[in-house]
Amino acid sequence: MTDATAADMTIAAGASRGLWGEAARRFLQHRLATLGLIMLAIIVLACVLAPLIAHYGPNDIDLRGRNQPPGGMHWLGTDGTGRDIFARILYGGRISLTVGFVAVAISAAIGIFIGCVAGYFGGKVDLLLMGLIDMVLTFPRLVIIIAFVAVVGPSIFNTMVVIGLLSWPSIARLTRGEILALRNQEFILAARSLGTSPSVIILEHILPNVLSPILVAITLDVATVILLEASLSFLGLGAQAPAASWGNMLRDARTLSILESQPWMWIPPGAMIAMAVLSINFVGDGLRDALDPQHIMGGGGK
Amino acid sequence: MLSYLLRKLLFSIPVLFGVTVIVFAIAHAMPGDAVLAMITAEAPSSEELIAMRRGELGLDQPLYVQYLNWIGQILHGNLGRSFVNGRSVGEIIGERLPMTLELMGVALLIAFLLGTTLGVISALRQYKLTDYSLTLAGFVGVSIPDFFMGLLLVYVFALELRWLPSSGISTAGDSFSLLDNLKHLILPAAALALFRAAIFMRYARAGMLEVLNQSYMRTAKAKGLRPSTITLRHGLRNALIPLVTVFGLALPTLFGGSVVIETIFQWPGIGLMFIDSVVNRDSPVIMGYVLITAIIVMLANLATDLAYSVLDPRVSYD
Amino acid sequence: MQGLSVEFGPHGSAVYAVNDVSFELAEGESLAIVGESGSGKSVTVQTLMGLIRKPPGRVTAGRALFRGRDLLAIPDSELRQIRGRDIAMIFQDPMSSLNPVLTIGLQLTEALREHQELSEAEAERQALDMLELVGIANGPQRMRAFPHQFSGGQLQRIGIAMALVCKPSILIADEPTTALDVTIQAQIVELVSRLQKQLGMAIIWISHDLSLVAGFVDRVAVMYAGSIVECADVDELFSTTTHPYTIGLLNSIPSLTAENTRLVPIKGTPPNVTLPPTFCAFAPRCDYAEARCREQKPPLETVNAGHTTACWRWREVDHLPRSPAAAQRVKPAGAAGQEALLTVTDLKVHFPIRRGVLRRQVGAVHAVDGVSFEVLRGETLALVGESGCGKSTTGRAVLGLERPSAGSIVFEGRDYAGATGEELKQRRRDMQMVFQNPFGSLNPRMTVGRIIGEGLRAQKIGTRATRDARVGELLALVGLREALRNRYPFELSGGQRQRVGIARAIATNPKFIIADEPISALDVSIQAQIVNLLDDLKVRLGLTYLFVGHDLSMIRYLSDRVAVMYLGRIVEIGTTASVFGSPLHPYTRALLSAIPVPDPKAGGTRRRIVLGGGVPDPSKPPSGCHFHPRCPKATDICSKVDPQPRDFGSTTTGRHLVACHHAGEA
Repeated sequence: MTDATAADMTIAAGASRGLWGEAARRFLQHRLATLGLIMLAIIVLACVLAPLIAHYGPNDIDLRGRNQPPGGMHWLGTDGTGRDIFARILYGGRISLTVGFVAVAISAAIGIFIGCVAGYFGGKVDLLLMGLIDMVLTFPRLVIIIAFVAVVGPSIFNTMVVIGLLSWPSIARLTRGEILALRNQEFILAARSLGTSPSVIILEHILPNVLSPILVAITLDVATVILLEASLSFLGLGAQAPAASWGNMLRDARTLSILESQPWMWIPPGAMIAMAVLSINFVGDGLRDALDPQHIMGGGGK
Repeated sequence: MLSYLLRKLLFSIPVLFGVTVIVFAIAHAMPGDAVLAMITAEAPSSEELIAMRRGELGLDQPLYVQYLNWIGQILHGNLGRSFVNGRSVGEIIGERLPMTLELMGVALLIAFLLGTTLGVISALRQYKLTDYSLTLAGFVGVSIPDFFMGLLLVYVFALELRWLPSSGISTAGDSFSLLDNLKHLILPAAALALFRAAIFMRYARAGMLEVLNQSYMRTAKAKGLRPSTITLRHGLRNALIPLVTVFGLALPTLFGGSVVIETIFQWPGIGLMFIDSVVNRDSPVIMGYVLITAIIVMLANLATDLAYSVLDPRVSYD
Repeated sequence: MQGLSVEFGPHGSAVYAVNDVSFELAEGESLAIVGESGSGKSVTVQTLMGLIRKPPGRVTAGRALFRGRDLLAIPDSELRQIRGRDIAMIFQDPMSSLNPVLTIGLQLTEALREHQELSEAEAERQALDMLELVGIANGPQRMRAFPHQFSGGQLQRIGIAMALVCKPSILIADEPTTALDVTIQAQIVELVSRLQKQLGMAIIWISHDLSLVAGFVDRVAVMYAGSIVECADVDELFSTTTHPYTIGLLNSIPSLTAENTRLVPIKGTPPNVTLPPTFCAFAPRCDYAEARCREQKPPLETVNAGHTTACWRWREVDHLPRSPAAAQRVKPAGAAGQEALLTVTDLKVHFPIRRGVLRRQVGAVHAVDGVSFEVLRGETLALVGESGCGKSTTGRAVLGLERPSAGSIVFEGRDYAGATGEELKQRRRDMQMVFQNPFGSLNPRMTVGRIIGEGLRAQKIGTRATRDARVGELLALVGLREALRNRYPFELSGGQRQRVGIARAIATNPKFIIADEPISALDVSIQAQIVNLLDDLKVRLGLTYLFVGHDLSMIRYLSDRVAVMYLGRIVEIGTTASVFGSPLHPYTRALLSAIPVPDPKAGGTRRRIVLGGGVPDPSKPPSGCHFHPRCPKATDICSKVDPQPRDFGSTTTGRHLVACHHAGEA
């Protein structure tokens, strides 16, 4: 083994960063991702700390100051009933973001579970679950959510649950696909040939390796769900007045006169939706690059 | 190929069955029913009257009988009657569907052409300013909800610049003309298209970049072909194949989008009809709408599969 | 080509892919550029053709004069006129280098129509002629087919036809046979040599395989880390080797003629090309390296007419023995006992094919179709064959990773074919596997230490502390530093990963190791390191190996007995000496004759049997003897009756089973 001792000389001295350290470094190198993370942090913090930042409550009515343009005490002006737009945006953000995160948490839990079951057991179970996924995907999501909301009645809670219960198929499909692709990897074969038990294979070999694409998908899903909630609330089927959400604040703009002459009432909430979604998309894109398994799988070839 | 089509169709039967069950369940769970909806118009009412009317409509029978009756009706092309105005649901949908298909079709066309062109340009100019700006624009594009985009478009082009009408399908009072219709179509179609154009652009860019790295592109270059021949004949054809999937995925979201956009622009399609029926709890119309959209999406998925086999000779369905 | 240098990536952290490379190519001459992956050989010729992407690539110096014109200076529109018309190229992977969605006909004719402005009919006529020339039958019909409808060998023929349609004066062949099986490789080499003479063109043949090119080129340039280290006429290069790297390469290839001497690998790992080329890149791995080598880059010096070398000490090297560290092979040959450790009888593994509306099973891929063999305690049995012959599936079935459809697998007296659960787990303590792909066989999210210890944990052997200690022992045993324990696979080189895979396999002290092509993904100089490691471990730990592979010269070197597989069956099995010395099955003969020999003189004298056609579809194996459609000796009986293995061995050579009706005939 004289020839072997020299074999490992090329690794430069210095501590290994480890996998997560490496991923973090790659993420922070991604300029848009870093920007997105900062934007998102500011938005989330502002919404959480709304009572400390805004001078008014979301439903405080300033009777003398209705339809005020931005300026003075009301930074972004007031609406037709004299409520402070800035305060409503911060409090509304709480609803929009909460719906986004909670609904995705629900759908991710269902999706990962169903995807794992279908991918691991395969065969008839897989066929059945894939059929179910196809069926749910056959419905336009917004349409079926509207139909469900029509049944259970519009409220923030219902919106969250309905979106969560109907958004899992894409994650389930992704999880299943990743597991199927992994099942044929040689390191899974190696684990089997060592006598490693199926449960350990799932926990140690499969889950850690499917986690990163799923994490990316979940992040991007939060953005989609925020858009979905906004659409629902805009149609009057999400958050109900007087509670504010970014989507239902835009409802006022359906009146042409407000649309034309009081843009401060609808442009800020619309812009907030776009900014929140944009920053989440940036973060998701950065995660995708940072967690790209190509970097740790190594690619062979030249 | 034929066997594949048959299998696909065979598989869609249980899916369709599931769809009808869900639609029926939704309608059944909806507060209020046909009788109550009608009764409110005919005051005064009594319990017996209600019960009698229910009997006439078969609403006192067990659920599965009601379901089978309903399916039977559907198979005869009868989607029931609207609670609100008593018109046949099939008739209403038949009247309004073309408007929605016009809106969706034009939007999809704009989205595809615009998105693919920009995506390919972006890929060809990788690492250049054009690519960076287009990619950033794409990010912004997928972050602006389509209703907000619609409002912005109306604000700028209809209210400020006054170039285009802000709503409706044609100018009230005027007789129908195609030009007038197209003018009304531009803004809603654009609002619906831009979000999707950004998605097409992303995939087209990624697809083209991947194709550019393929070794058959190097072979083409090694043959001394013109750059335009290489890009168009060898590159684009391959880059378009994955876009078929995006096309298929875009369709269901277009129905959702059209509901919102038709509301903003008062476009008299089935989306607007759907929202009105939800507000009025007009369950036959809701059922009809959901069923029709599900069937259209299913057919579209089938068409997507077929498009694959036309575009990619490697795909063989056996 | 004069002083070409190419870099990739940003200026601060560039990859120096090609450094100051110069060579000449005369009309009608054939030159081979040989080097391991990352040596810059492909980049060199792609730069010549204007095929590298810029950015990130960048030509920093050099000229490439083609008939007086500098290809690196003329605008791309002019270069385009030369590409494909005067200089054409064929590529490594025939499957991916043809456009999958366009017909063969269109891809064949488009260069003709571009450069010679021929009519469609005329271009088609010329393309058909060319198809015939490269040996594709049924041209008119094949022109309308798509690439996926051809086999790899056929596609490479089409790739060659495509390159030659315009009758270029230079053909650049970039590893055109690397992706192909050895019998197909022989076909392609023969085709290109024939066409070269027929069309009178010059050839640049890029390869990693010195033995392959030895047989048919005029001159060889050896590249290492972006520089040419030695360049000479092919005979001169083999007889008067002057550069330590070239010597190292030759020493790490097992010879087919010399007796079993231990391989002498080049120590260390492939070079780091991110450092500016200001010193001899080979110095860290060179036995002759001295201070000057690490400080100054040696220039190419002339040894003889037409023989240049880039080494400060070539004069001294010349006088040193060819194999400075050559020792007799440590393995006691023939030490294997006669007791069978593993006996496989009539093993079958079939994979179902489902089709139609109801996904009914309509057939099966007969991956392994009735295989019997035994592995004796302490020996190395090699299972060889071309891709798709079922050798890997056999290995996996033995380990219980594939479920056998029929047959028995008896290990130490117990049949466990189809065993599951505890029984299988028990088996796996004694039996382990080393996998082919050093990238895919290690979980990217586990540290090296955890990977090696996995078997110990799975079999619940020892305590945490003893397992940790055992991992330390294993690291040392396979020649890895203790510090690598906490690293992740992506931080390791290919050779190091394969060492980790081996450590994992021997962790539970198994008696039997199945090695599934453990070296085929590695560079030549690293292959020898791994082979030597496997050899050492076998002696130290008393292991028995089932070695699955396709590199026949390596297999001859390391195995005691060989089983040759073709399309799911063993056609010949016997001791390595008798199978290689007097092969009896026509397939074995063809296979052996196709092995490239690292000796330019052998090329002329050796009779090469080039098989026609390709390997048939294993879901529809031919009747009777599976080999009969390609067999030069086939007669009526071969297509009707399945040949049973017959023993042609003697008391001195041991059993030598051959499944051929005509074996032993004069």
